[in-house]
Amino acid sequence: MREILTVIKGNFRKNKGSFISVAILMFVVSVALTTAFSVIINTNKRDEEQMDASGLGNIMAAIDYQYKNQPMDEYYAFCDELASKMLAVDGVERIDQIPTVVMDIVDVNGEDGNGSIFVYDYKSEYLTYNIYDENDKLLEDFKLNEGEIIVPVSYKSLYNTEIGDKVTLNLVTWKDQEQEIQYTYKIAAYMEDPYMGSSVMGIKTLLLCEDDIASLCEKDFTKEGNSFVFSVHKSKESALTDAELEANLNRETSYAGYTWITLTKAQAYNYMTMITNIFAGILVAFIVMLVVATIIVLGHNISSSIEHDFVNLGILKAVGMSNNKLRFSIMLGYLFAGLVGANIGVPISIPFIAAINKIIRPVIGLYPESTPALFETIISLVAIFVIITIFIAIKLIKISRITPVSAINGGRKDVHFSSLFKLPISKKALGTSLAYRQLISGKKQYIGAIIITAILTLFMVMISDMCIYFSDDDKINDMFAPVEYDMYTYATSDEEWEEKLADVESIIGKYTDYRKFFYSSRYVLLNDTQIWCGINSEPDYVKSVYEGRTCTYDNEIVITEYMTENYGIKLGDEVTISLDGKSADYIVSGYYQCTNDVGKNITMSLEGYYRLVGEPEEGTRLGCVYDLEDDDLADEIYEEITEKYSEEEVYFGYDTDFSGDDSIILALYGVTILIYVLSGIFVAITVVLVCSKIFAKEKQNYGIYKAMGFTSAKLRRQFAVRFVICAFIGATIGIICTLLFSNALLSGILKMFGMYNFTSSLNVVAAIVPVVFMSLVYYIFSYGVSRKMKRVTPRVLITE
Amino acid sequence: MKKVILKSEKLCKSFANEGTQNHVLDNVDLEIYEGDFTVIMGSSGSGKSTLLYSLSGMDMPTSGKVFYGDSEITALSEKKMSDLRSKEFGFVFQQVHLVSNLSLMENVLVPGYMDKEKTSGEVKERALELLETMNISEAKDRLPAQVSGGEAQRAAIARAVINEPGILFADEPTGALNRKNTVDVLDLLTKINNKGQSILMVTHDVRAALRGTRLIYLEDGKVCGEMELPPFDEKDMKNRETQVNAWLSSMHW
Repeated sequence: MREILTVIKGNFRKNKGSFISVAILMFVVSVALTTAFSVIINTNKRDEEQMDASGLGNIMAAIDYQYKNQPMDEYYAFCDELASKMLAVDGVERIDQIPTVVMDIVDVNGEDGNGSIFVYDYKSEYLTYNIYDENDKLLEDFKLNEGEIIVPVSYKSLYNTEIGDKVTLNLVTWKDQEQEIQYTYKIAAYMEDPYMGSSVMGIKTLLLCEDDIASLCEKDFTKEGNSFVFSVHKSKESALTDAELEANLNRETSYAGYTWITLTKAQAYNYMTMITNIFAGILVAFIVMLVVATIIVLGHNISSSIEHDFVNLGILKAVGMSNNKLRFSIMLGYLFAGLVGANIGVPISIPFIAAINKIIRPVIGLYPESTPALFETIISLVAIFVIITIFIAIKLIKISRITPVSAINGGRKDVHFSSLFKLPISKKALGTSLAYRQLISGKKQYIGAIIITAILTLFMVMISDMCIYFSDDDKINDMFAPVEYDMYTYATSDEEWEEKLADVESIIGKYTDYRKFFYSSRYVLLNDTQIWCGINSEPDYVKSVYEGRTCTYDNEIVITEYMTENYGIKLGDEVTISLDGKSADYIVSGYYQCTNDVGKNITMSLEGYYRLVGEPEEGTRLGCVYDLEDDDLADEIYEEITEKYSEEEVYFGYDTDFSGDDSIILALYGVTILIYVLSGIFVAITVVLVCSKIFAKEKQNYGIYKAMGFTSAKLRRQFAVRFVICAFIGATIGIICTLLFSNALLSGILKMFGMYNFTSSLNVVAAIVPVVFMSLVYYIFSYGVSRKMKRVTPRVLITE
Repeated sequence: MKKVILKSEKLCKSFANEGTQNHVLDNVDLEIYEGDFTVIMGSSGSGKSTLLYSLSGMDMPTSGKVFYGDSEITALSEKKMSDLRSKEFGFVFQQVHLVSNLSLMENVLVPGYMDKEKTSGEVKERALELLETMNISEAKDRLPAQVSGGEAQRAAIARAVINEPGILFADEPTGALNRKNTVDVLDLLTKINNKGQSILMVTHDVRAALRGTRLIYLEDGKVCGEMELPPFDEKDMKNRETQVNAWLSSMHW
């Protein structure tokens, strides 16, 4: 053992640059890995913890406020009756009837708001939320005053809010007559809502003080609120999943028919953690590639070191060191260096975790901890080290081929090469042709650098691709919506609605051709589970059907893969769909892609819908959607139509209902920057390591060139040009790989979260930036490595 | 009166070795004349290779000056020094040191291409002529690893003289060669010297030293003595050998 330690010490002294580089590479891997794992694990854990702490149960159901034409007392009595029925269902422990005021958001911080909100009493006996100030500091015993409101932290990114900004809400009341009353509140603090706080969720929860709630109720004819949210708590002994409990409840009480939204804990969890999981998925895939790149660098380094230390290894063999002892000493050296890097990486990742948390906090609406997820990180690092150990062992097999005599006699291999790519040395481009010759005559040693560049470029282009994708509303809608349309109309009660609609369509036709069809959605019960259902008069327009066929006939539906994975429904199965007490059987005719309700959805034809609910009465008005041939003209069309007709005459709008895209893009840019920084560090280390080894190997040649009269600057440029060529080749391969694999890779990651319709939107700029970036990094660092050429004389280069 | 082509003044070179200074050259004053085949001899460790590297600008002296003609090469910028190496100096190494991934022809062409005044065609023509002179034209497209040591060393000489340098430096050019190749290389050097090429060669091989017209003996980094000889003539070999051996004995060789 003593002799092994002595050899290791000697190796460290001689190859300290290599060992430091390996330590840095493992440090980068460790930081990236710890950061990604910690962010994903902490976020998921935080959501689970806060869900438990908030007091909301396993199913949250907002009971429809069907009191427009009936006294509120009847609504309360109905809710009590429904709750007692639900309580009798097996597996239900408790049902909290949480009073809420359902309002619409009108304006936040000067920006138009969108969607309904649940307004709860801040001091509600049922709910507890963590409250934070502007600087994300937890506020204990926060006092909310009249006129103040607490909003989800995702408002920071959705509406760029600050404490003190105004929020205007709309209350629709039928107390005396139907009227809308607007209320404005001042933002006093932010809340962490583990159920609906994410910016990707359209409905949000806001908190008001008791007096403000009372004031709202006074304007209405309600007591505590205008609606109830049922919080269904599963009994601890129950082995049912939330989805099974939901199905049981529906089977026995049909409760979903009386709700306007239900959300299981699992569904909310999927929504809340969706963005983090997407980002973490990308990061984890990137880390896998970093590990592959590390192994390639390590392989290159070990090969070069063996070649470099050929004589020493031969001498050690001559004095009696066995192959295994030599292998063990080299392996221990690399593993030790890697371990040091990995260990330092874990605590250093804390600020990175905090930074990523800060970026994603307003997107996910949660306050996850910034501590490293030690257990998972250590397990992953151990797995990585096992792979690296096996790899090193394989690389070190060649040590047995060294005989003491061959080693001591020099050991350096002669250069023999014959290449198809060989070009003559040219007088006009002497430096470049010499650089090219060095490259093709030693191509093996550059292959590692090229592969690493290709891998990193793949990720850089891929993440840019994703940024472009998420910045494009049309693409996002493609991903979230199963059919493509640009504008829509709702039926109004205007007497001349049909004439006016015809005029609206003639205005659209004046600008561009369009496809018109009916498209709407309802929540239905499918095998007793509440499911979002798209209804489409032109099933052929459902463009995302990828297996089977669309729902052409009225007894057919298309489903997502989510439905198969979570409810076991497959292509060809017959299912029962119910709505408003009516039921009909349908056959699953195909799989399609649609992100609504995180993939928990189906689509049927308009005829199929009529088969369920019955043919509409004569004269029933249907709103329609319009898919414009030239959707760039949508702005102009919208302007002309809304100038001519009021909302009451023809309700006309855009199809831009995806919220949170800006915040996702912001977070995505954060991840992009992280990937670029990590790639930059990685490339820099790789270049330094590979260049140093190649320079050490070729420095005699540089001495010879210097002796011939080449200047150091010229030789250094020549040296760097080679690596720029490598960078260019690697980056080009990376771009080709992106074209081949990016779609599949990103689709695979996004598919896990119900986003099925990802299509690459790679453009020239997104492809060129990484190529330029890689080439620059390679040039700068290889030029830097070759500085020794300038410092030392030809004699030293030749004879050292 | 012979023209001085290269001159050193109080040339010193020391190497630091674990805190102690090892003085390899000690105030060497030396003049090398145009057209001479100057040979520096000395025992191992006497500093002869170090002197050659310092005089040729391949290494920087610790102190002292080296002049090539009127220009002090120890004070030249890297760019000017490179120009000098390209145009005025040719260097032949003991271990040949051809660029391993260039063919023999390409090894000769590269320094030729650096001369901006010559066209590609002219350089190629000159290189071919030299390779023929060196009797290695058939091996011109082979890589250094594919030829014998003698062929490689002849290619190295061709490379050193392609730009018709003012002076050719040779560091033990036959040190790594067998007897046959040694004679070939020495014949070649003699031939080009006879055409007027100034040569400064370091060797500890008496057979190689016999080719010189001026011999300098170095001991412990100092010039201890020198002798002049007429141009090399094979017929006069015996007499020349006796003279040189006698001189070397007087130098305690």
